[in-house]
Amino acid sequence: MITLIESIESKICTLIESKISIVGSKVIMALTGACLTMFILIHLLGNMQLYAGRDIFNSYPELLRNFPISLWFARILLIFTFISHISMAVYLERKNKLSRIIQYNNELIPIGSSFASRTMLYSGFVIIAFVLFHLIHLTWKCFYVQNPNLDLYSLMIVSFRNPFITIFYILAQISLFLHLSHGFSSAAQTLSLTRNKLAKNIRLFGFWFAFIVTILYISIPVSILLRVIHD
Amino acid sequence: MINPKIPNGPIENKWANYINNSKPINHANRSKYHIIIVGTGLAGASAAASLGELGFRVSSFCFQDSPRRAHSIAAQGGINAAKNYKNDGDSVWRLFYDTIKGGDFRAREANVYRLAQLSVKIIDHCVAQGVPFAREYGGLLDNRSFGGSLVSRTFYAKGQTGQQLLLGAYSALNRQISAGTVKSFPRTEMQDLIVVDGHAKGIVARNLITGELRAYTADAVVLATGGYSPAFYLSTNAIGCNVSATYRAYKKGAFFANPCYTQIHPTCIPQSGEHQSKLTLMSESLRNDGRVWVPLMHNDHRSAEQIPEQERDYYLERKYPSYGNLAPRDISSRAAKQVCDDGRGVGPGGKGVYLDFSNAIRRVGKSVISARYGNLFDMYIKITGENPYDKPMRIYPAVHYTMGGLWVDYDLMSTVPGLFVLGEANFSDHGANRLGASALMQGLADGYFVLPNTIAGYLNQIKPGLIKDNDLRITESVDTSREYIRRLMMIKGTKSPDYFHRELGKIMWNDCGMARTESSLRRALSEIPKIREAFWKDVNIPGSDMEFNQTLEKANRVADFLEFSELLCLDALKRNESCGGHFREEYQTIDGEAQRNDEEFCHVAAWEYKGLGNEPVRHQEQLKFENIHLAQRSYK
Amino acid sequence: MNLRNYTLKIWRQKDKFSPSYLDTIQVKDISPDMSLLEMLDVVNNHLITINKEPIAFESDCREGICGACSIVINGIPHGKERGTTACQLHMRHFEDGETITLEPWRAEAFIPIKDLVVDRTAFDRIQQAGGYISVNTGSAPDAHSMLIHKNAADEAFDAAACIGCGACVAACKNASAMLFVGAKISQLAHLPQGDPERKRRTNAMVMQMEKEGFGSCSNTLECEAVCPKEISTKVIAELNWEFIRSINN
Ligand SMILES: Cc1cc2nc3c(=O)[nH]c(=O)nc-3n(C[C@H](O)[C@H](O)[C@H](O)COP(=O)(O)OP(=O)(O)OC[C@H]3O[C@@H](n4cnc5c(N)ncnc54)[C@H](O)[C@@H]3O)c2cc1C
Ligand code: HEM
Ligand code: FES
Repeated sequence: MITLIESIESKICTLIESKISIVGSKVIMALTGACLTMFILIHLLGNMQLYAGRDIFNSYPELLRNFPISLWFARILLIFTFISHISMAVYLERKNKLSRIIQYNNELIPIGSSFASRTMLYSGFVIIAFVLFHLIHLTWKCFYVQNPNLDLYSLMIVSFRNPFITIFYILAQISLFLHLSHGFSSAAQTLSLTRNKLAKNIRLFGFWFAFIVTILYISIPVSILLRVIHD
Repeated sequence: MINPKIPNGPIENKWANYINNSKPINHANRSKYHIIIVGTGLAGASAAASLGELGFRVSSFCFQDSPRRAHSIAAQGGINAAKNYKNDGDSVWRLFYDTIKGGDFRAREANVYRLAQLSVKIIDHCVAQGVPFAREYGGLLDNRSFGGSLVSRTFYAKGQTGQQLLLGAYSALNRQISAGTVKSFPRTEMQDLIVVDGHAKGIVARNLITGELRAYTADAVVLATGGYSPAFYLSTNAIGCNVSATYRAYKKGAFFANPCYTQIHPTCIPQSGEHQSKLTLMSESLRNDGRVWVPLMHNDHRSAEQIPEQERDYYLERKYPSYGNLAPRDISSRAAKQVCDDGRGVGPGGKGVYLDFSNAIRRVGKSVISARYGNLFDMYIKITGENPYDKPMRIYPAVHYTMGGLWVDYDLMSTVPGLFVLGEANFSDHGANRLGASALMQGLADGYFVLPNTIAGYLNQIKPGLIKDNDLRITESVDTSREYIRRLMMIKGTKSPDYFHRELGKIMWNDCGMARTESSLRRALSEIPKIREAFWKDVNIPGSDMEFNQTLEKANRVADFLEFSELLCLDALKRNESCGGHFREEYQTIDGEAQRNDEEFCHVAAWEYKGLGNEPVRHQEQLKFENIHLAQRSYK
Repeated sequence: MNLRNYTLKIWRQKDKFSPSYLDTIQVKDISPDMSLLEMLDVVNNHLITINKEPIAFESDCREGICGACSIVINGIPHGKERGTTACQLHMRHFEDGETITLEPWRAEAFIPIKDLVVDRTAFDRIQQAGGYISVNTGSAPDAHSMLIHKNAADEAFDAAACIGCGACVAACKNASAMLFVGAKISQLAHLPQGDPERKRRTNAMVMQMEKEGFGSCSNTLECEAVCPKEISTKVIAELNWEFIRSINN
């Protein structure tokens, strides 16, 4: 069994090496990353409706459920991009580790890179962990089985009154910020949109984009905690 | 008298006639010929690529880790070509004339004319290869002017022309390597030339990583191993530049021509201390916009900006009003030495003159100057810690180029049949002084266009593949080289090779440098053997010869410099005249210019080796000036 | 002049089969006008006189153009001065008494030779795979038969300024050679001469780069920061573009 998996794995790797190469693999990362970023934006729009009050917010999932085919299509697409993004990330990371097996004695001192850019894998893992938690928490509502009739709005309020959940949520958002603040311009570079003089601006834009998205996401639990949003 | 085998006919047609009368090798037979090319500079790389394209089997050697690092990479200013794109009256004839005159009438007319003719095709070829020469807004190539010429014919790529041209040749070489016609041997240093029955049949070379010595046999050997400036220890050359390949070929019977013709470049960054390992050139192109001056007063210790205009001596403009700051190198260098000897030099030790850009910056603005010379200015800042945008640069002459080299005929073949010599390693085109931007031109002309057309003449006369690697005479050569290296390793003395090299350099610079006299040369000739003896007693090479051993590499080269320098001084001593870069104080005009002696010395001196300790024999090749009238050089 | 003293910590390694270790060497009376390599010359000359193995390091032009010198100095390839090669780095940039760590380029594609010297022929093989324009000697048309926009020529030049030292690889957490490969691809992509072979070239060079074992690009921009010729990561974007364009090939 293990040998079978290994042989399949090595076949896939050779296929990627010969057809896609490390450059193409990064293009896949960038494309899937861009899709995920779009999802993050759409998801954010949905979340922002919390500020519009209970009724509007509660009607939003209803709205989605009215289009079951599109919804499933989107879900499958999302899962697919997620898996592609993660598997490419792991594939490249493994390759990259192999390109310098014996390290320097003194660690390299970064002079051009940002913290975010060096920690993409870690911020990525925090994001997965968060996504899983998020699904368990708000989609499958595993923590609230006693209470099946809780509407989404109340669920939010109940959850984020819990400081542990809020803190974890905020930490996850910070990871997302790190990931996106580098990821945005990185994807632009990988997709070669930075061939002109705009590269610096794109980097700046990416940073602020990530910052605003994160602030908006974080604003929700914080507003709930500070009772700006209340029952 | 040795015969350069110059084709007949009027000078304009010699090369064309030569090609028309030559017999190319049948395409199907070319791969039977194996040609060794030592050196991957402009000359070597271009030759290897072109011969590979023709279908010969080529092996290419260099001691660096990659062909791309050959010393040609360091050339800054540009490459000449008689394109007359500027409509300022340039022509093949004028380039020919300037080169002969610049060389102080000590070069061979036929070779120089061919060089001028080929210069045009070099630019075409390099552009086609993707060399990014500087361009004008209209999309056409830009030119600048260089020392020793009144027209603008120098093509350039910022201050990195040599790099761009070499990368072009390197890419052509790579194409042939990937096509399988050329095999590349980086980090492999030639130890000896293999001569069988009077013909060059291969080389012995040492793998610098493993230390392995082995023979490589071939049907012809091409040396493109560059110049020997580091005989002076300090020079603008890369520290790996050496005379070993050509000197060992000389010991195997190739004549060495005009070793005393060395060029001192006027614009280098002055030495800062004993520790200095090399000097850095500031491209001559700087003299297009920079003005050279020293204080009028002796021992003036004020800083440059405190010295008012009327107390400055723009000595080049004063002495040579028509060429001004663009006077040729030998003349500018000597002028700098004169003012410094006069006690008017600037900077530590009074060994420097100013190269001032303030006028130019005022005239065209800092941004234009920075676009033209930005990288040179940056280099200057890095080395000296001073900013030439605010303060004038300090410069001083330094050894830069060696016009001498192995003697070659019109075919670029040395006196050993089957041994061809290209680029700076040969002696042919620059006479007693090289004009700026013509070394690159010569290297590429030799490699791209001359050798591929002349080598067939030799190959047609021989049967390919005659010598096998296991031939007794071949294994003997390897043994001799092994024995030589073993002797070096066995000395086990106490001093580093650098120590002896530096000692040699001091003698060479002081006694055989910018100004030479009979007595200084005799002194050098008596001192050099002493250092050589001390070297063979007291040098130490730690480690083994069967591994990567840089001390051994160095010692190997220094050993050759220690023998070769004697030849250089001897040649300088026997040439009782001043010409170009060879300035004998006894022979000068009243105003201190070089005084040639055309009656007795209008010839090439080609030296034949007669064994260590025996005086080599001086042969002559008479130079005939049929197209240009011999005249005293004037740049006034 | 005020001479200075330093403690050197140097990566020593006899050959590729031997393990490496950090050697500590004290050096005295160093002039601030010396270059780092000249300081090493002083150390080596001393080691030779006491019959110890000198430190192997590579250099040739010593003016920042040949790309031979290759030392990671205190954790930064070519040292902390921007746009400077190791050979151009002068001791005036180091404090008296400072400890200076010197290490070779580290990457699987760069096989150790000795001490600070590594084998960079992987770079040559990438260039051999396609870093050229196929034009035979003698077949070129007049140089002015083709107009090239000044900007294009300048951009090609900026990329072509690469000296092939490998600092980009040494600095990259992935030991990626994208800046090096991008520089050549960008140079030729900007010029009309390079157009006919652009797809083949990109594919061949990228495949060879992968085969040599260089890592992928994470766009951390470390390479651009250490590049002694300050080649911009724009060339990587251009490489990516050429790669994307060549997909339907
Ligand atoms: C700083 C500087 C700036 C210059 N600027 C200009 C300029 O602007 N314009 C101009 O026209 N000229 C210029 N020159 C001169 C010009 O660069 C050289 O004359 C020319 O490049 C020499 O080329 P080459 O091919 O003959 O030899 P090199 O480029 O010196 O190549 C020599 C080759 O031989 C190999 N080699 C040597 N010995 C051995 C051995 N024993 N075994 C194996 N391989 C060996 C080396 O590895 C190398 O590949 C400049 C020179 C310097 C020093
Ligand atoms: C919503 C989630 C995510 C978004 C929006 C996202 C977005 C992006 C983007 C835009 C990039 C830049 C691509 C490029 O450099 O071309 C990127 C890179 C990366 N992502 Fe994600 N990502 C997400 C989740 C993840 C997860 C779960 C992982 C898991 C490990 C991950 C790991 C990485 C890594 C390692 C990189 C850098 C790859 C490299 O540069 O070599 N990402 N991501
Ligand atoms: S030695 Fe040539 S770049 Fe440093």
